[in-house]
Amino acid sequence: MIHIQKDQYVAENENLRVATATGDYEDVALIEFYDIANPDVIAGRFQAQYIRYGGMVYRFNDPKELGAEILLIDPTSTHAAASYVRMSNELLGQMNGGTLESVSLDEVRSVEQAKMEDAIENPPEQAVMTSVDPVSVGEESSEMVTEQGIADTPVPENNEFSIISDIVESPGSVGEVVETVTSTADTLSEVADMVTELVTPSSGS
Amino acid sequence: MAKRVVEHLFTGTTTPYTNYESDKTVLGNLIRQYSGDNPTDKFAGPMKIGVARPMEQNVAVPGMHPHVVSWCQKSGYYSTGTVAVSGTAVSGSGTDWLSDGVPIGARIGFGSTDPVDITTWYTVSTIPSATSLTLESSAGTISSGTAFVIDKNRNIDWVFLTDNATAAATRRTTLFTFDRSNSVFNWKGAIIHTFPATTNHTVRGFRVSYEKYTTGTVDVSGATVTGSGTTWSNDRVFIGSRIGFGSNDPTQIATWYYVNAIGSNTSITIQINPTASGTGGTAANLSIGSGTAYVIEDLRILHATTNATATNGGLFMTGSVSFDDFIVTTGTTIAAAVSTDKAKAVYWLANAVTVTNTNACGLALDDRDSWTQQYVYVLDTATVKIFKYNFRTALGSISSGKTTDAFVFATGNQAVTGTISQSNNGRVAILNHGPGAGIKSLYFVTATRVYRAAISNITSGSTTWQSDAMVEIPPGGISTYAVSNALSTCEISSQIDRLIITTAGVGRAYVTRYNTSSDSFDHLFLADTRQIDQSSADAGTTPHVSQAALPLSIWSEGGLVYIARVTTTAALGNNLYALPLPADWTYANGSVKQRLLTPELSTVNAVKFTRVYVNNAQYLGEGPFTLPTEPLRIYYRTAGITDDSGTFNLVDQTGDLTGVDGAESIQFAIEFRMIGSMGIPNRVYNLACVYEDNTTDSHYQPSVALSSASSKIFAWRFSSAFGGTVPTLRIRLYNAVTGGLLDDDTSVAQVGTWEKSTDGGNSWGAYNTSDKTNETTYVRFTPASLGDDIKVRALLTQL
Repeated sequence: MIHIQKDQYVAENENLRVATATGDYEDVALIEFYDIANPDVIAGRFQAQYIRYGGMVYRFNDPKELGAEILLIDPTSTHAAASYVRMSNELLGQMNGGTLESVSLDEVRSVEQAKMEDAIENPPEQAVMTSVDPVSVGEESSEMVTEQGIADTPVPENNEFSIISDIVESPGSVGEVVETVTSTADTLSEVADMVTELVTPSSGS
Repeated sequence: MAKRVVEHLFTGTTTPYTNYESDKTVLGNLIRQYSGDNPTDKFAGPMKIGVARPMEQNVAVPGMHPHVVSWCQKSGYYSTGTVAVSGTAVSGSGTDWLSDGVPIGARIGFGSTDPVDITTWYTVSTIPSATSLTLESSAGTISSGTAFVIDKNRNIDWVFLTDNATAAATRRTTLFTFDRSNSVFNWKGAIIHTFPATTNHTVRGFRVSYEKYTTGTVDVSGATVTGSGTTWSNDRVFIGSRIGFGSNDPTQIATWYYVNAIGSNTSITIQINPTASGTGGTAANLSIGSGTAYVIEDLRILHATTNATATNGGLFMTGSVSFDDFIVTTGTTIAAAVSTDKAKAVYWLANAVTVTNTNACGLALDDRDSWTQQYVYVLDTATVKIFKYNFRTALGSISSGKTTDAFVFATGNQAVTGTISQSNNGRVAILNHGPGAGIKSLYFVTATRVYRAAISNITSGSTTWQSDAMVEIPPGGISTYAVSNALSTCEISSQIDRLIITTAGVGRAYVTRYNTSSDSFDHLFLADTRQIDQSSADAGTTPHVSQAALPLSIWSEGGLVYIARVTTTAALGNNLYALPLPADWTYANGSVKQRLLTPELSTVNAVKFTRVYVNNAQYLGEGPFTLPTEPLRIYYRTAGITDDSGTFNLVDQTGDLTGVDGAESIQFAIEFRMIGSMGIPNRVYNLACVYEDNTTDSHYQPSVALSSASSKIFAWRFSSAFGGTVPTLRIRLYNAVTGGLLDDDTSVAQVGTWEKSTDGGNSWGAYNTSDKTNETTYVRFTPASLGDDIKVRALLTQL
């Protein structure tokens, strides 16, 4: 899931803002945007994950690689690929530390679920641009955007969310991944096998 | 006669076949002469195979279904007028570089109009006008009135590939450029298509449409371009298109701008940088006077997909992107369209509100009829039918990026034999032979057949739209090669008027005419060595096209054939190759010449030719990785060299020329096999021709001891054997002072007395044609009559 705020700026596109209502969207859900020079016209639709992270989400063929890359810049990401990697890492750590138990998967799932819910309830700062380039936009547009409340949107401390790039497919959702594992693991050894599988998934593309 | 040798090394000046000059090495359309530091770097032959590795780029996209745009194909020289140079600025007098088509990137040399005389070349970086250009580096100061020559040779193809990664809601298009002069691919970058349907797409068909819009002229003020005689709105110029000023030729544009709004038929606005949406870039600030030429590049990408949710598949168009959207590091993400026409976005060109074109097999692109009409044909497995779309029509009703406005009609179902391939299946072309000769037709394949449907037969609801079919019969028939039953895709090489048919990983491809008379296919092409050519492969290997048990996707452009191995991983060799297939000897003397010709080689006083020897690469690679090159064959001619009117004659594999009459010069033509198992082009380093001139025959030596001036006897020792019957000999006696001919006799006519000795002249018998017996074998000749007191030069030759 990706939290999207209306009027947040589209990663890598300083002239584009989100037109879709604020909410939590599937990673690949299409989000409408407008050009600040023409705010009354919906200019197109990008995937929620692109709005949030930019072209980086299309650069990787392997969801594990994408998830790891997202976590580098957004440790609390609710992107499915990020959750996938985060859970894998946790389970792997338990396995290597000798603390892996048959209930570990349930616990990891619960923790991850809680993180997701927390992130949704307290959405992270979005890569929202509050200043408008007067050269590219013009004074009138700048005023218009301000009227729409962009200036009230939380300002990120840095621009590290505006990373660039591309993926082909991410796992469906965190819930689906965890559900698959917990519904089939009966023994500790089976759990360990599944952890290994989680950590080294087959190529996603 | 003495044996003489004339040799030719492929290091001299060259000329294209289209500009034949007998004193230069002549190169066919796909033949090149290469140079380098090592002796084996200097050779001539078909273009080297080019190799690109999509999965090894920084945006690693498994690429397939190449579509190639021939962006710059320039050749020849320009030397009209004179120039003055100051640093990087070149001023011309009497020049007209723009009209002549000189491209940016061409080379210019000063001080001569002959490229042979140029020792330092400079690269052209801009061409502001017919009389001015700039260089990438300073050429110093050169006074006015200086001669110059521009080498226009610049041959750049754009090679697009689509995404073969696991099905997803987005697909990527990658772009390489290919330089035909050195066979090098360069990675340009990628773009990402955001499809309006968010469920997972698998690409079944992929084509690119590239057109140049140059109607009318313009003036520019700030960011506003005002047209005269333009109809931009009616002609559906898209936001995001690239525009350049000062020429109608994109290869002459140094600075590009990007359309960000279309106000009317005569007004557009532009920005200086490409952006994902096509808008919001930095506004241009130009001042260009009226009457200026311009060019807009219309670049659209078409996908036919199947989808995890079947009704979310069909035809999609991305328009208009530009070359500069393909970014090395990440790629520009193109948005899904919403409701606006002519946006830089991905449109879903649906055939119905609920799509029924759900099982696309491929996408065949027809020619552009106008700026508002160009058809594509999407084959569908629905046993089998064709959906026809006009992707240039106005899109008046668009909802969530989806419109049915482009749909024209669908045919009815007509069954085929064999399973229809879903690998970029379908190609519109006009062949000049067979049942489809001169008829624009759609060609496509099933596992066992190639089908043809005349475009005129593709009508709404028709259930008889297929024209005919060709059954797979390998060369030599099925008792020579088993059928593959796995035909995968077909492409047309217009240069040789042949189909190129690939198979789904069964270790072969075909090149053939289209026939419906159960004739076997013409050529087998490629073998499966399983070599995968990753960049980290052993340095001793020679990259070549091997199926590696995988399907091959293919495109033919300007003679070159581009082949992408269809796989998703670098480990299996998802490579892109370019190879000069039409340089094959079967087609080398066709409408486009693909021979390598030596210059006219002087053989003054030759009375008889003996043999031609060719040094060429028998193999490439090192150690355990050597692979055979494809063979070559040699032709000769001794007449019609100057004006290229003479007929070439094939030389057998022994190089035998003994039946060739003497001539003052000779020229050789070399043809190459390219449609072979390996497809590795041969390389000719040099050749030599042995002939005998009109001095004493090389098998005999004049013998002073056994000659007699007083008896008027002329003797020769038989110094080297012929290896068989001695050919007819001829003896001529000349006045050594005046050069006048005194006597002319042959061993057959024997007007004078011909004798032979095998014991060093102790005993003489009648002359015979037996070969040399021993080291004391001699012949002697006594003329029937010869005056006294004449200084005589006796000449023994073969007749």
